[in-house]
Amino acid sequence: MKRLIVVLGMLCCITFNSVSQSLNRRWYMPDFLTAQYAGSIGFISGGAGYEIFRKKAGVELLVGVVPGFIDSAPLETINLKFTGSIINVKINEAVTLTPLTAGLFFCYTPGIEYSSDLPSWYPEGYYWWSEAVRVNIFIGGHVSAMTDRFGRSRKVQAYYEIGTNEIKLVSYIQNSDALTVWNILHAGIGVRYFFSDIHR
Amino acid sequence: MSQNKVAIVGIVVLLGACSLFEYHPYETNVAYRNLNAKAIERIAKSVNDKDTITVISIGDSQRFYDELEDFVQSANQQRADFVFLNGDITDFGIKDEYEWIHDIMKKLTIPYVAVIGNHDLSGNGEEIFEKMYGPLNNYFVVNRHKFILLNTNGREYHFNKKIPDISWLQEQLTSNDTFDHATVVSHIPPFDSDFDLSLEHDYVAALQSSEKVKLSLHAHKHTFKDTIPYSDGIRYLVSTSMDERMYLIIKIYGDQYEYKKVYF
Repeated sequence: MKRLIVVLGMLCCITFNSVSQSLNRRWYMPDFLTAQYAGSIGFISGGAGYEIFRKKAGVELLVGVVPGFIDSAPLETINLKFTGSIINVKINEAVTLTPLTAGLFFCYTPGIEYSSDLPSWYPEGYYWWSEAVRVNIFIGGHVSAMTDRFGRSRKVQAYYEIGTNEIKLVSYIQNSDALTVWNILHAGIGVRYFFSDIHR
Repeated sequence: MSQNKVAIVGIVVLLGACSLFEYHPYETNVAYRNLNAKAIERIAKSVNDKDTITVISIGDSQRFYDELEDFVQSANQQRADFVFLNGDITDFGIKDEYEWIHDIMKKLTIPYVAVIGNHDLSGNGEEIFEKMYGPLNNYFVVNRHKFILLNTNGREYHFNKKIPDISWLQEQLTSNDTFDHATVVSHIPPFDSDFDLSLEHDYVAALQSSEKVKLSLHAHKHTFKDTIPYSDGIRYLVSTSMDERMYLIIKIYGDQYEYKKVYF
């Protein structure tokens, strides 16, 4: 797992260098890099992604970590996240506000103690959920701004998201008296750095 | 620069303080600690030297929060000394569930003692249980009656012939001058297929040979069961899950006991 984080980190560096230094962007080079705090995928997480659907949405791969100094049970996650923009408000030439986004992500937590399939010594259907995979839905928002801080004109974005996963959602649906929606929600915040210099 | 640092530290502290920021569903830094030890301390004071100990036995509160709230209301009407929450406290073994359950159970006017169930071991549930309630195998003595809490969730350990810990159980049941009688409390009964059946005989023999045990309390099966399966006079009482809206209220005096079912 640590190797995976190192590889991803190197990939990000290579991407960052090659994309920022050459104008010949390769097709597979990501459109943006992401760093996130919390959000049920790690204390911190980082990764890269692509803008899709005429930049109305994004898909990204994030690796998250909960280090040992944060929790006595350290964790790593690999996440595939889809975020769509629903409302966009152009504040001025440099700043766009997106007050409503919605999306979903799959969080995979590797480790022999977290089975993704039911191990062989359980009868079929003994547990219906996977320990290793969580499915999350969320809404959120972001603000994007153009900046010259990085030596050239670049888009940067700050975002938040608030959502839940399938096992908390099913707990809430069956217990609307004892639980409130605030019981099951979790939040994350993050930043994205875009390689494109064209602000939409 | 130092101003920036102050701002960053400030932001991190603020973010940490906001409970909405979850790092992972399996995080283990649960808000409540050592609850069983605290409950046992209260029990020791309240039971003191009463002739009769009155115990409520429930289990399988997993994902039945609404029903558990109704249970607490009903149990608060009883004149019981304490409650056993006998395993499958949670459904997925996540920190949030453990906290939701205690937020309801802390409204009890009497203490409750929790026992580990198979669902509670999912994810990092074992570590959370240890932080929140204490050791998975535990015991306490009130009024010369010993209550032994035992982890019997053998399937969760791939039937490794170590769960339940028979030698620890034998040790606890060995005569000494601190107790006259004992009751064993565990989630999975020894006649269930989720119990490590290679240890069934050893469990039963440990209870029999001690000559201290009349009752073995369980849950897990989600339906009520009252049985003396080994023709040895030792009764196995299985509580329902909370959605069945029933609990057992057991009066223990000397080597005698009686119980009744209460529906709520």
